[in-house]
Amino acid sequence: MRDQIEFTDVSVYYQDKPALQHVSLQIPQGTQVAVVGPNGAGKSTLFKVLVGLLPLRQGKITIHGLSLNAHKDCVAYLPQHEEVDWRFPVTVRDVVMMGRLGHQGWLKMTSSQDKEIVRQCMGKMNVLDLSERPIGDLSGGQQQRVFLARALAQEPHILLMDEPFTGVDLVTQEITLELLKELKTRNVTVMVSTHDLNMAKQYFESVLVINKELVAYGDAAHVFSKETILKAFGTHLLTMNDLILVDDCCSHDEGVEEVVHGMGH
Amino acid sequence: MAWVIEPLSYAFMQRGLAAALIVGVVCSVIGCFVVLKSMAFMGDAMAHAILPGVAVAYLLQANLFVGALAAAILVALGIGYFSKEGTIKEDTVIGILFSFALALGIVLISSIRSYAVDLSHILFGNVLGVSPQDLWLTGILAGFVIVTIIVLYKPLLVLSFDPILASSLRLPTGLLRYTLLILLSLTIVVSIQSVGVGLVAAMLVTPAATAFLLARRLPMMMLLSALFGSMASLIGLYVSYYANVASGAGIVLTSSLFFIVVFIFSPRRSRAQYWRK
Repeated sequence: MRDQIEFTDVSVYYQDKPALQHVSLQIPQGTQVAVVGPNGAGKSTLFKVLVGLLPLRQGKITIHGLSLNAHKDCVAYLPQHEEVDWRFPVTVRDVVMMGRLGHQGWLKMTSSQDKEIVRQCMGKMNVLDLSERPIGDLSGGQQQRVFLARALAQEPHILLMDEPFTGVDLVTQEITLELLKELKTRNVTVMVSTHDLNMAKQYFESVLVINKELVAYGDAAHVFSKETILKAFGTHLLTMNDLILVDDCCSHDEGVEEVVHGMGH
Repeated sequence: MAWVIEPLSYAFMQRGLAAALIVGVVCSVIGCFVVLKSMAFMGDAMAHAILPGVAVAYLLQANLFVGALAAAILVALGIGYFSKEGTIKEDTVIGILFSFALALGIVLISSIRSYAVDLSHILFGNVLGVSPQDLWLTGILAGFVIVTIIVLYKPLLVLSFDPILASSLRLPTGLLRYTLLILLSLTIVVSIQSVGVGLVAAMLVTPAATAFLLARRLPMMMLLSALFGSMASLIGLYVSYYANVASGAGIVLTSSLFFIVVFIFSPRRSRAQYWRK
């Protein structure tokens, strides 16, 4: 059995509304996939299913040939918005240390190895100086880097990041992109959802386009055909000769219009 | 210093003080989770649920302690059940069950003409009536609660701070939640004798909230909370002895005074205002 994530005819519903239907695909270990699609297309749903936050209505998902529940901490997940209480009395180091729980067990004391891993992960994300600060004191970008450091401390085989490039500062974007390069060398599978099609094309080898169902999946050059984009974004799309505009403004605070150059032929 | 020593020359006062200190510590420690997880109202509802539990146990000539505990757990489960599907919000369900339990308790108790226990003792506490057996039971149950919290510290921390991480690490989140609720009902039951049904919620919330204003990390919050809780019990008991008022009221008033003083001088409050534009 190859090391891979395998979706077989997966459907997910919120009550009676379908969020994802009949998705089948395989992601070989070590692939970096950009997940794109309009809002409400099921990008977040896909990630939540993979970490066990949502049940499947139908179909099955296996990781390295084993069911999802057989994996305790091999999937790390960075939600789009951390739904935590920012006034909670924890320091940056405490938060990153939580990522070690799966390796530690509940009863064992924190080992010097855990401490070293936590220190390294904070260093990589450039939050080591902040390690004794309360989490609520940090800026949004710093907070995101702390949660990324925590995901790294889990030493995952698979890292899921939901819109990590939306609404963060440039430093955080740069560090996140650096991290992608490093994870590539360590053969970690990465799935990143983004509404930025340019970024998907530029930094990811594979692109997955979904809109409640699988629209296209493959290497970036192949996927970004005009037909695929039209199918996925439908009415959100404006085409002008060689230029495609994705109208995504109803949902994002900054009211962006993503401009994708030179896609149509 | 005679006024400090004098009350302690009575055995009932020694037992009362020991019980109040134990209750002060255990309420304050589990209270940190009550404050951080916004379960204050839940705690209050469970405390009021004890009233009919005690009455039914008395009617059945069963152990009052067991009756109280069963009622508290029943209400916690009932709250979970009615709010589970998301049809009714949790605080609404709590409001309904809370007043239902209180009303039922009053009906039952006032219909038992021969009832030996004074209603006001259940409502406001009677720490000076603690028997040696009561004290043993209080100590054992409180010790159990504290040890369980220490053992489950790491998963409880993750569950309280970030339930999404807890689920993605495949922690048994449901089991941990129920464990916390059962620990909470044990705490409430052992606290009834010193602070009473009406004031338990204050002991769960006030010392922990006071500590929250000062602490940066959860272990420090728990320590400070235990300190505030036990100090309030100690001072409150002396107040109740000399002023001849209900022990629960004296303890809760002292605890509230700590909160107000710390709130006024809190570094955390000013820092929060600075960072939250």
